[in-house]
Amino acid sequence: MSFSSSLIIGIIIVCCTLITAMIGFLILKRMALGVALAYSRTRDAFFEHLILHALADMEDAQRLREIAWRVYTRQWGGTPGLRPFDLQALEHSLLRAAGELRGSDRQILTDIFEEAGGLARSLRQLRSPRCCQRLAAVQKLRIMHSRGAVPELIRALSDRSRIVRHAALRALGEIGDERAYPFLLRALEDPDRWSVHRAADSAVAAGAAMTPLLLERFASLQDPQTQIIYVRLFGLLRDPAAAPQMLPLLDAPETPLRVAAINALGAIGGAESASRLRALLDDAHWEIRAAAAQTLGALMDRESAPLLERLLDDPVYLVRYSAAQTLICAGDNGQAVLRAVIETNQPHADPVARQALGELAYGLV
Amino acid sequence: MLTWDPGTLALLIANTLILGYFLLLQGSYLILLLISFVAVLRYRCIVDHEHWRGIIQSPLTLPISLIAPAYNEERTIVESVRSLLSLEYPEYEVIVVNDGSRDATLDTLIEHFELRAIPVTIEYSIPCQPIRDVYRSARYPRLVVIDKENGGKADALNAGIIMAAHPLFCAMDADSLLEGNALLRITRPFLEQPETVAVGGIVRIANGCRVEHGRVTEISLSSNPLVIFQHVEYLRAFLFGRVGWSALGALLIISGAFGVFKRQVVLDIGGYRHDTVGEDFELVVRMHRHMRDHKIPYRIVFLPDPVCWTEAPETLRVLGQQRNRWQRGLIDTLRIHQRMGLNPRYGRVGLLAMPYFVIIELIGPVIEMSGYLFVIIAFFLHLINLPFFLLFLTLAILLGTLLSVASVVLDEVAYRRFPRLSQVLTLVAFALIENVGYRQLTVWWRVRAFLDYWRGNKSWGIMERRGFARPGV
Repeated sequence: MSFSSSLIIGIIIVCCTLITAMIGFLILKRMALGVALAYSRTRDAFFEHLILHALADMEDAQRLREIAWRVYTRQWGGTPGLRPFDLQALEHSLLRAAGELRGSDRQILTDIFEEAGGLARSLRQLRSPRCCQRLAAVQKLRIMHSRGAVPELIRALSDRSRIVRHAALRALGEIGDERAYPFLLRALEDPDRWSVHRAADSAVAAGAAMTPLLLERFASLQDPQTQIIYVRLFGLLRDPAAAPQMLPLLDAPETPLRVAAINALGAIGGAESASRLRALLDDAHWEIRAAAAQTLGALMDRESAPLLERLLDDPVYLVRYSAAQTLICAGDNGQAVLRAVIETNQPHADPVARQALGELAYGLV
Repeated sequence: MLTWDPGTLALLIANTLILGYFLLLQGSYLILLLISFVAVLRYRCIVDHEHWRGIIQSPLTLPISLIAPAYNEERTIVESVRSLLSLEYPEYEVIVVNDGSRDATLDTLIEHFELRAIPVTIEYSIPCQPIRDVYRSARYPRLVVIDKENGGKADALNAGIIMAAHPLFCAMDADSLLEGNALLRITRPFLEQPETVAVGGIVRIANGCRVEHGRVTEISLSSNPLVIFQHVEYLRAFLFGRVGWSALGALLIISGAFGVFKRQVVLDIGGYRHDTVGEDFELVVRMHRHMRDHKIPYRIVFLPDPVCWTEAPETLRVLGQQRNRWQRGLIDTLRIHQRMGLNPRYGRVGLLAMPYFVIIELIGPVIEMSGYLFVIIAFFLHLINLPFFLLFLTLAILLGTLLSVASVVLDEVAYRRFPRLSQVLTLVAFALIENVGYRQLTVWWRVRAFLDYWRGNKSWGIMERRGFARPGV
């Protein structure tokens, strides 16, 4: 037999082995999964029953605490009903219930989790060299809202794994502890955009309590991209305290930053904002004119109607459309302006006025 | 001294060329497979643990316009639009483009969704056939229906892009079904890396699945063997072809059935081309070209988990037409952008992806067909070493099978879509037999596409749709 034939036979054998191994893997994986699922369903049912009673009755809560303590400390010898692998089942049931509950009900489970040893175990797990272990620990602490874990979660923001860092960021945002705020701010300037998004979510969840810190940091920011993120956050937080810092940005050199500031001012509201925005309807940049027109609509500003009428003849469609929409929002006066425009047959203004009035008539506005 | 007559010499050269091609083909497939395995499992690990669902609450989420061109879809359009209107996403609009349908597609939409024509100002920033009317619904404020003159899918998409109000648009088919969370999943790269300009999602076959209210509620396999072969093909094409190229940063195809793009970038490059049948492929290649020509940092990626369900052809005739059209689109796009090939200016796209598509995807079927003919001729001329040939044939079939089975395994490990083991084993069985018969048929269709292309055939062919299976059907 030639060398090439032997080589081909060798490769054929390897291929056959690989294909057989893959098929075997598929079958075994499915079978193992079926067995594990059946077992965990039984055990989950056992613990879910205990949890349900614990939420309703103090004595049952104490019973669950004892059982949980035995499970966590692996001292289940002689305890009726407990079996191997119950640690996973207990944690699974606790996490599932805590994830669905709010307020005092969740607090009962958090207390049981912390006092029975769940917190200590999770903190140990958080120091594991294995990424998936650390990640699991962070997720448990997040769902259980363990405030005792905040310092460790802050430390996890510097974890070598990106996934763990993101999970810790989310956990701190959901727990909502003030100690984490400075770290959330730092994450807003992270080069990793996903961290920025998670930090922004957490900042919005924290609400107006974040505003003073955000404003303090915002004053020293230089990068326009980061400034835009902060400005959008101010808009979402709708805290009037942020408005004075937004107004100077209307004259910033970067158009996107100006647009963000206009939108934020629209969300925050206020008479001074409306008067400054009216002045922007004549801006040289169409993005600014369009954003100002839209925002005046959101502010329900009735004084801008005569200025907006001029914008109906703007060379840029989006500006015309935004002006028409805002006139609709301005009420009878604005709508009268649109009807008058239709009668004059202006080439740019007429179609957009018809469109806006048509949308109004059909209930789309 | 050894002397060879010209016939033997020609045979030897042909032999060597085919062997070399075979090694190149299988080698590149195996490399892509390995890259994909790592990429899919890594991606799976990330999305499993990342809070991607948080996108729905995120204040920074980008709104999307879904553009669904419809041509003679009166039977399925209501269910499809209903499904699109109930997706999980914070801010989106659904733009259905009635591309001059000859049936009652528009009337069905008007009646069912209580549509009314609204006067609009249209600025044709990219070419498309005239838009007759734009309809809106007070009951479904997210829905916009455009009625335009017939111009084909690319033309309809351009009309949708013109009317889109959001910075991202999703190109899809009106008869495809998106999974409820598909938009949430597919927009992640845009949030994560703002230089992302296009993202493709996976297309799976819905034939045989149970569909209720425009949602796939039970995944199953069709009883039609032709459809099961396509299942295996789709898994291979998406899970190791596109994932692999995406991981290499040289993804050239985003399926026309499901892809999300930055609207401004598509407007900048002039929208979809009307003069090609592979408009989805051509658009992505043109995006690469534009971004690289203008030295703009960008990313075009494929994600294996946002799912779009589509109806696959169930007859040989329709399948043949579809494959013929895909191949003509490939020929056309590679011809239009031939300057990108082996051009260092286009980085991995020019140096890796374009040559791969020319050598493996474009001329591959021709070489494979020549190989079959050559073997038959050589057999009758007694110029073939039969035992060696049979060994070689076995190897070729086994390597092909290995790739297909590996795709099934990858799907099972990462996504476990099929609820029953018997379904997975059916796919494996079809992966085993696919290389005998079905593969040769697809090669023939693709070879015929060259002839049709040369004749100037630009037709789409007919896609007979039976509609998705409903409960009790």
